[in-house]
Amino acid sequence: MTVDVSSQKRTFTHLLFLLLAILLGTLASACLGAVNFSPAQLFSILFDKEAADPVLRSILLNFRLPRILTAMLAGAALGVAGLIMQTVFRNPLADPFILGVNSGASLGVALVVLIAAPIGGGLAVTLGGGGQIATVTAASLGAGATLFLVLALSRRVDVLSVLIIGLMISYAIGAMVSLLMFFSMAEHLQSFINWSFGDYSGVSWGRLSILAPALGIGLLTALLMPKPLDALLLGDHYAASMGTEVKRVRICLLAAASLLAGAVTAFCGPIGFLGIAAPHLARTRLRTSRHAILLPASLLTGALLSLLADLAARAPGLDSSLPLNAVTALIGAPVIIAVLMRQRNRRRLFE
Amino acid sequence: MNPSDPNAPLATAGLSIGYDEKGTAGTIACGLDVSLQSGQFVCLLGPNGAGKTTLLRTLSGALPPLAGDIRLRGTQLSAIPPRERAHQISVVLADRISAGMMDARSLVALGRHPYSGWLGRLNAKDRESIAWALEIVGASKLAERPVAELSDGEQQKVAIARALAQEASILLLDEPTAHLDLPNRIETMALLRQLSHEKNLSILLSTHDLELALRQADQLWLLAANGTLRQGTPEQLARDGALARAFAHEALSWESLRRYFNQPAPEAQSGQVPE
Repeated sequence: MTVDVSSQKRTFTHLLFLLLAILLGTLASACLGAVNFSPAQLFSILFDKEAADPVLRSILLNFRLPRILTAMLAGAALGVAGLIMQTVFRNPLADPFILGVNSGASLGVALVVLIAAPIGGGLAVTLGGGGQIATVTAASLGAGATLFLVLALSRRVDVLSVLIIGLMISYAIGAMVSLLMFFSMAEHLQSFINWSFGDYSGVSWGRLSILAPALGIGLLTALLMPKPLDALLLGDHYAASMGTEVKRVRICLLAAASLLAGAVTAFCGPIGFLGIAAPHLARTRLRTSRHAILLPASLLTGALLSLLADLAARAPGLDSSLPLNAVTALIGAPVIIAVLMRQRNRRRLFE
Repeated sequence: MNPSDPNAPLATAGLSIGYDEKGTAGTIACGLDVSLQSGQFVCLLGPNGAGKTTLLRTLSGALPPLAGDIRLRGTQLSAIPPRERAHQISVVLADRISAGMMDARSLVALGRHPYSGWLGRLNAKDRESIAWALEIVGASKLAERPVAELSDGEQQKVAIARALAQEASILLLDEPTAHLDLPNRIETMALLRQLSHEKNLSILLSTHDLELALRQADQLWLLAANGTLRQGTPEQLARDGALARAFAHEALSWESLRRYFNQPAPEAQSGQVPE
């Protein structure tokens, strides 16, 4: 029982630490950027409407806040989606995109940017406001179509086959994207590549009002399923023997995880690394396999990592943001390696 | 000879088992009429490939029967919802459990899933069951250790504890002694036999350990390579030559089998399980 209490305490302190760190990250994110505020300025802009400079106020409310919210939500979504995929496939290398939703999204975007835009309205559509909406729509459709294809094919097969089907579909769609790129002109390629770098800044309040509910549904579904996830850790047969309706639960979990990953990709581009790193950090820090703890911990860890990565991508002294994807992996990979190396039982994550 | 009792804790009638793949039925055994009684410790014997695992999987509901039916106290197995089925049948599978950072107590706690709410929160009764299950298999000291770090013997104990914590009246075990050394094999078999008698559980376990099975089992289910199943006491099956026929290919001397039954069975279960 004493062990029970101390592990509860550790869980509690760690979750509290994550929340505080997210709060600090939010504050830093709000203050730092092309224009820097001090925390005092920040509060006067927020709460003293009369005295505030309308330009600064607009920067804060219309650019930084939605960006911060997007970063947190996307990170939370990817962390939870990654945890689900790792548990369902019982594979520590699984990430949110393992069923190919990001390939689907990138095919959608490639079709718009590389085919529709050059034929139709030209560059104006690609770069203007209308073009971004088309991109988001196409990416959502692509991710959604891939999700349904994989789920439909995988209803009757075992879990390893689901994984292979997802990989194959990913490769096939990736090949189509390559072909599209091969036949495209350099300037159109550039806008496609820019999308694939990943970016939170494109998400305005308007788009957030679509993204947030989608992620909310996915996160809520996941948070309601800690028990079947625990059971799935022992494999399908044990899970079924303990009363879990394995097939139904699995479809539900894969749908939730793919919705999370697909929505993030559609709105922010394919954000790598966070989804694989957040669950590993949560697991190794908390030394537990209970999803009632791991789900909220991965959610918060994902949100924190994402905030920090976005902050780093807006490195001071640069006119534009660095590619988010590069930042997440460059900063994150060494951190994960360091954490794993310090673990005594580092090879025992899943075996 | 052994009429299947339809109201037994577990009974089959005209059961065919196997894998139905794309319309071509791969029947492994058919016409199985067997029953498992309360407080009975039964060993399922049979040569490799006879279908022991398939039978256990079918009886646990993981695999649909190709024909015939399985009844739990008279109710069709397929008509029992999963959660309720888990109240009645628990299983121990042959493969080593791989569960990441899970400690032994958490693994055993999973056995309480059929009773807990959506969050899996444990109440006092659940904790009591978990502690009892760990205690009775002699694994209390292992409770806080990660499952991945346990030895094969220790892990098998914890796996059995998980099944016991599920508090089902029927326990199906697929070769629970396969990876154990001799002392651990004897200990595990004696423990299961004792549990079945003391807790009035119906325990069915498959094993290749003919010698131990003959000494410990109340009944044997003998699954032959030709897909037929005989049920009887070890003595019955030894006398009428069914055992010798089933293991004809395993170069087993009939005389050595006979010698067992001329010796009194040792009292391996003397109330307390050795450490």
